[in-house]
Amino acid sequence: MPGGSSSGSAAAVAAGLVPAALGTDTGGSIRQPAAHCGVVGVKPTYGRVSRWGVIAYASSLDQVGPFARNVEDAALVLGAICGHDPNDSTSHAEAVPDFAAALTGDIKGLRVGVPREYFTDGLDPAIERAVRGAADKARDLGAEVVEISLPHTKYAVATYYVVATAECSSNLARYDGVRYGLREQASDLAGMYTRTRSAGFGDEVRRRILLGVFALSAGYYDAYYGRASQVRTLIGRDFENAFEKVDVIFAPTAPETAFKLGERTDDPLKMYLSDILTIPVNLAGLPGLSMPCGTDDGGLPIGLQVIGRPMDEATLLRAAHAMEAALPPAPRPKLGGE
Amino acid sequence: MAAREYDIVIGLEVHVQLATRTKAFCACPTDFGAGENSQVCPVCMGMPGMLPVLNRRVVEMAVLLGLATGCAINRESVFARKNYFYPDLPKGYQISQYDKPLCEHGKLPVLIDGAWREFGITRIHIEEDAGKSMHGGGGSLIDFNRTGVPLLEVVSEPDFRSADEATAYLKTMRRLVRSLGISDGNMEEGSLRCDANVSVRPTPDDPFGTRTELKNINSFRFIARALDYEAARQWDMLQHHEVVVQETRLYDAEKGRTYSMRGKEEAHDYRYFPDPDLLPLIVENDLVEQARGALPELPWQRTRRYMDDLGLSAYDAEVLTADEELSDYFERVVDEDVPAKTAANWVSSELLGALKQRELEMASNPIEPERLRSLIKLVAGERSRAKSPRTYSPRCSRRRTIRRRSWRRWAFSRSRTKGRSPPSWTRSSRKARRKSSNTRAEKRRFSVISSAR
Ligand SMILES: [Zn+2]
Repeated sequence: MPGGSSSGSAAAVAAGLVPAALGTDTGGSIRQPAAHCGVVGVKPTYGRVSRWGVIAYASSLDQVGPFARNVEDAALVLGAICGHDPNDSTSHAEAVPDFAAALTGDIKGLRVGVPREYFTDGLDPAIERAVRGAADKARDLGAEVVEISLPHTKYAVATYYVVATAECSSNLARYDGVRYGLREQASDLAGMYTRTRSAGFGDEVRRRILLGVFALSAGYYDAYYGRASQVRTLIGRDFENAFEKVDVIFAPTAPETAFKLGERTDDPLKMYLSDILTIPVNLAGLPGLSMPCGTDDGGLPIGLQVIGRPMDEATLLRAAHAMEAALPPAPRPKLGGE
Repeated sequence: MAAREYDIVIGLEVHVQLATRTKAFCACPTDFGAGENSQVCPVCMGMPGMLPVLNRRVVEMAVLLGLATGCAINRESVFARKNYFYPDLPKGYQISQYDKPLCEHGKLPVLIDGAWREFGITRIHIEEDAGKSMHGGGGSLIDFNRTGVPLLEVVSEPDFRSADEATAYLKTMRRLVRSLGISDGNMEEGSLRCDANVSVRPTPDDPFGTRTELKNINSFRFIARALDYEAARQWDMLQHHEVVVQETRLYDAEKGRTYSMRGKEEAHDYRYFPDPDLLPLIVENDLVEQARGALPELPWQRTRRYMDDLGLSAYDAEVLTADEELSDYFERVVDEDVPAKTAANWVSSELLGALKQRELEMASNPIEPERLRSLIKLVAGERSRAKSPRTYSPRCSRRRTIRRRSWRRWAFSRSRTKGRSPPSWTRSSRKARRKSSNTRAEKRRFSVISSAR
């Protein structure tokens, strides 16, 4: 399984079909497939890239970003897609720096934070070794590596699944069979809606719509959506505090390497928990990327997640680019006929 | 007014359709009467991937109304999604404002039976209109032209103790939005819509009773009847020891009664939450100050001026300020030879009477104010030549009928011989005139405010 909803793009880049591709990252759907496929995937700061034309899932979290085989290619594509768009009210007006020019290879004096909450029980030991090894390499390159704490990390998954499903339940309301797409016939309006949406949406989508509708319902709003919004603020504050001490954060992208097709889909909760390391970045609106940093015993790629300050993709990419030269290259998949 | 054996409590929710050139969150035009679905785009049609961008003029107009009604303008307000399914709502939600509206805590001064009253305004918020469904012919059709047209929802306090008070408030609100140039305030065309919360109680000292929400009372002709009917219905229920249920009711103007639309248990749960596609609305000081500077003389200020400075009776002042065009006209008739009282009599009884007889509105009045002024002078001159000891008063004149006939013939014939085309009495041309005068007013009032779109 290449992992995540933009995994097709990651797989296409990994297979060498295209030099770069775009994806959307709401809770890790660029970074996790990038980790599993052994490519670079960047989720920019929320508001860096216009969402105009992007089919919305969770509007306050969705962000478009590139996949590429190396950091420089990713920086070039990112530079091309970033910038203010008057059609997207959440798009930032700030000028876009020359990301490729920021790739100096020099990270001397760069302060790298390693959050202790990201190395928990469920983490594959091979991944922990690879990520800590990457931090050591950074130290060798002259960076200053310190342990940091992001104390509200443990609430991120719960927060995310309230916020994202709430927005999703509203965003998907337009697929009602009235103006376009599938329409199932029924004798009355409510019947048409029910039959059309039951037929058109799969189990997972329906599950999320139901969760979201519940979280926003009268009597439950404060306990769920309201509370989640507050915790989201706290998660953002964790990062703000951390970035007073460090310039970038190194962490694993996913708790496990790629799993086999069909292995996990029967247990949605376990699926949701696999997003634990990427979700906080979306909740805080920060830029983050995943890049290859080694393989597990089975030869599957491991992702190093690099997280930056808001709007500071340049430092993020500079760190990743310097690390790229110091880390082993990701294995290329063997495709049929090769 | 006959004494009632119970106390009515009414609160109004007035929807004001704003006369912007483009819609609230997209660049589609808002012209009334265009062909079905000719003023739509992917944004207001709710196509996948589309995003809203707020029309700055909507904010300017909302701030104008907020300032005019003495509201506090919240420097930060939040757009929220009001979620419900209906075919004329393409996104499955309406962009509105919920717990953080733009304007709060205002009041509207209203002249009722010669006395000034103030009715509280709880809040004014921005929202977008839905489309129009048309049923019949074996199916339903939807026109999305109205979808996304900006509305202001003005929510009053439950301050009205009679249907007449509520009606007077609504009329003043209509005058206000017209004088501000933010809406044509036309109830028949839906530019002004009104829902009412109605409850009854034995005496003003009792706590509020259970209220019902009355929808669809969109005409001055029957708003009082609808409110009185609903109050009487509730009182009758209470007299028979029945329980009034909190519900939404519709007024059927033809049958003159209200009927239940949906009960509380089937009430919508709109699942409001902040719209993540729109940032919190920050209103800068400049915008507020420019709007303050652009405020025209407000209708009640004008009414007071007519009473205090021109010495008109409360009745005349009210009649002459009921309509912006009428008061503008009146002020052009007055000059040093034609005192305000004389002009007021001519305009409020003679002119309005003549227009009414011909079923003309003020907008299509063919008599120039200069013409009426010279007529008044002629009549005054004739009277002084005849050495009539009686001061002129058209209302109590014995020769009124004769005079009225002759001056009307004179005025109407002069206006034709002058080469002016006879007034067109069709609805569409009245509308067109109103529209064009509105656009002018809007342009004038907003010339000092830069527009983003
Ligand atoms: Zn549009």
